[in-house]
Amino acid sequence: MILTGANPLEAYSILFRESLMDYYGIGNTLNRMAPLLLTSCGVLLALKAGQLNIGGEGQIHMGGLGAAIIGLYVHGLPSFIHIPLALFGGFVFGGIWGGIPGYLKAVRGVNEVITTLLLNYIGLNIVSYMVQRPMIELGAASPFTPVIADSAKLPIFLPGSAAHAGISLGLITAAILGSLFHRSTLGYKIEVVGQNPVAARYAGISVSRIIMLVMAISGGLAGLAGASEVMGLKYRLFEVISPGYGYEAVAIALLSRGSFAGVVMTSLFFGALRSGVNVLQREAGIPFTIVYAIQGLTVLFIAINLAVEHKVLTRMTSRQKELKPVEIK
Amino acid sequence: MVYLRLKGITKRFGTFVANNAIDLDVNSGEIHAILGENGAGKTTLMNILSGLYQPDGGQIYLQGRPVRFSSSSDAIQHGIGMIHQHFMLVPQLSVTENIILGTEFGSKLNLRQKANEIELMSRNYNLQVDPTAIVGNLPVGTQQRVEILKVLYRGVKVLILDEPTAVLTPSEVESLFIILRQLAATNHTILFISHKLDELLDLCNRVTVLRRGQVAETVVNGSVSKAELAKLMVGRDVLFDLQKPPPNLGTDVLQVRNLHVEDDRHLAAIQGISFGLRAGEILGIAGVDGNGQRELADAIAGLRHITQGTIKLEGVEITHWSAQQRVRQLKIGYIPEDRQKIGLVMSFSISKNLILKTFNQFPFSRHGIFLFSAIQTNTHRSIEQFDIRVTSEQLKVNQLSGGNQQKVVLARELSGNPKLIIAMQPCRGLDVGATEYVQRQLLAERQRGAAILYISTELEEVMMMSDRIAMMYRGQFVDIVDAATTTREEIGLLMTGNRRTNTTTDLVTTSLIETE
Repeated sequence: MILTGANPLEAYSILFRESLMDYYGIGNTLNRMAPLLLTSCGVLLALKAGQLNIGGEGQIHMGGLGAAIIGLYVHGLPSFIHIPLALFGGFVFGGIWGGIPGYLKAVRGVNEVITTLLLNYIGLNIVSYMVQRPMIELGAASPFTPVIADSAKLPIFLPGSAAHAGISLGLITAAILGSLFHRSTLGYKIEVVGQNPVAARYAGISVSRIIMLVMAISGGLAGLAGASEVMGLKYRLFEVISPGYGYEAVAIALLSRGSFAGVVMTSLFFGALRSGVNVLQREAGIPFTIVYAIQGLTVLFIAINLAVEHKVLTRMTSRQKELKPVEIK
Repeated sequence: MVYLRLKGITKRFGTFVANNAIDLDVNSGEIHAILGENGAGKTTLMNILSGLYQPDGGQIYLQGRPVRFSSSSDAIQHGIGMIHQHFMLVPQLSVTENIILGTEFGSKLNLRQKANEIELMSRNYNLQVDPTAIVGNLPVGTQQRVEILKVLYRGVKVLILDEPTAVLTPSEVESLFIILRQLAATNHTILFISHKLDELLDLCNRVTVLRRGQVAETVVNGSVSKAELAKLMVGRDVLFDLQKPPPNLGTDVLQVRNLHVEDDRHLAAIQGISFGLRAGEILGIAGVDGNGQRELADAIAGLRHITQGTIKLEGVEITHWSAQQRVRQLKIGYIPEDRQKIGLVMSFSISKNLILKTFNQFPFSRHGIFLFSAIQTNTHRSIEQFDIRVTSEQLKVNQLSGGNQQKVVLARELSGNPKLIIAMQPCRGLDVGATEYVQRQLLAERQRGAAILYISTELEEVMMMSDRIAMMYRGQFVDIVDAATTTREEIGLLMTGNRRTNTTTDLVTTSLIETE
């Protein structure tokens, strides 16, 4: 930051003041946080079953497409039916996009990292085609669809700002998933599959069924993120509705160390960084690329921290092996 | 002549004393055994000797001179080399490349010349190895020779072997012993770590027994009996001959007819096995590892597809039942061969491991929601009943010793009073005390009326535990014999696939239950 000629302290204070202390700033932050939270919840869920879903980007776009179709072409429904229906459409489309790699992994043994990554490009291009041809608004200057029906728009959360109900969807999801792993047998099964698939098979848990289920839900949650972007923020489907949320979600999920509460906090942090970016550029004259560099450094530092901690931990456990004689016959 | 002397070696980890003032003298040309239970401090002591750990107190002397090793390469330069239980070899590289790895620092490498050197060396030491072979393709016994050559190549005079026989077949063990005796004859000093008493008595000159980090005693081989050694090691009397009441045979529990099963590579692993097993009976399955034992156990437990034949449990055909169905029925307890890879989720707590098979049943859960009080009661009861030694009930399984891990598996598999118990190598890697415990539990289950399939590669174990013994060879039963009347020699012969000339078919037929 000093290199760009700005005062770093002032820059940080602007960043956090504008993104967390300011009414509109909070709305902005929550809007960025919503898709990040939903997508990273999905990534973490897959991670619990030992699957790395890096296809969030494609799943978000497919989810947006699903929501847009229902939001555009279904009419005459009251909001309390239309909104859930459109969200459901997003969930299903994203779920299919996550379910395909899940099926391929579970039945054919294809590595999910490769399939989810490749499906990103397919998903993005399908959406791109849809908004350029069949779904384009008449006379539109650039490729986007018409505005979705009013009954499918998510309510605004903080009056006067743009904050929409997507964030509550994310928080509810995180809470449900958190308690799923805390007290349900399904969460237990997922964890057994993730920690030791051989033991899962031995215990009579169907590993392939769990992997397919988890990947479909994981994709579905990213789809919900796409749906909430279309229904809450943009009200139309664009060619690109996610500036890389899908990849950022992987970082968030990995940094949260297996905790859904951690995902909420990390998403808030990343959301704040994203919403502070524009202000920073405007007020402190710092180019937004620098902010992304800061974000990258943050991830790097936390990752190094985790790695070091892990090393310390493994050293401790290896010592514990030495300590075993404490429990003598 | 004393070659290596340890004086007052002490090593602490935090507040725990792993080695407490250990004194040890080893003569050159001696095979000296270090005996002790898991966690008695054997490995710590050897890691100090090989330079991996620095002692907190005490002194090491080599030929009377005090030495200090700052690293394992430092120890090797002083002529002390360690052969680990898990080989430190690169499977993709050739024997020659593995042996010279880390010794060449020049920029030129004449691999052919090195290969010739190694061939010559291996002939000198009588350790036949093809220096150009890829290590990954060699059998385990030969890989171990490569490990030995590796340290000899570095000019080592003291060889430390950490439980070297754990991975070997009986014939490989024999050839290893021949090699070690030859090395000792050429003035190498060998430190042999093990908890298998028979091997030590067979091989070593002297035995130092460690107990709880201290030297219990050093004895000359031949002056003590096996039972006395075990007592020194455990600190109490150990019964080698489990007093086994005569079997109280009940109804037929398991009937296997003409079973065919494939292994992971879709090769026939079991080819037409038939047998019956009655309540209150232990059928031992002996045989060298890899003759289809694993596939047989998996097939009965429902983890492997059965290509032909039938399995009946209490008269009900379960041949094509899924593992889930069998788990739900709770009539089969399966102690898998590898508790860490198959039987337990190492990162889970004891509680979570205890409910691995019953988590979706009442009282542990209802409508998919856990009922934690019942789970906690279960943990508490299991820890008490199976004497699982823990400092806290919240411990993760990977913080337990091998014996206690196996107790967790036992507690889970024996709860719910299974009709059939499949025990696959249940005592592998356990020390004397834990082995005795596991065997007693299984015998108690036999008294209760469980039918038990006891699979092990350790002949002694099988002979001691079983009522009948089946020898498995290349996917078939060579024979089934009565454990009370058979001899070691007879079984040894059958294990290699030689059928007896006077086949006691009566034994085989009586054991096959006719299905109606």
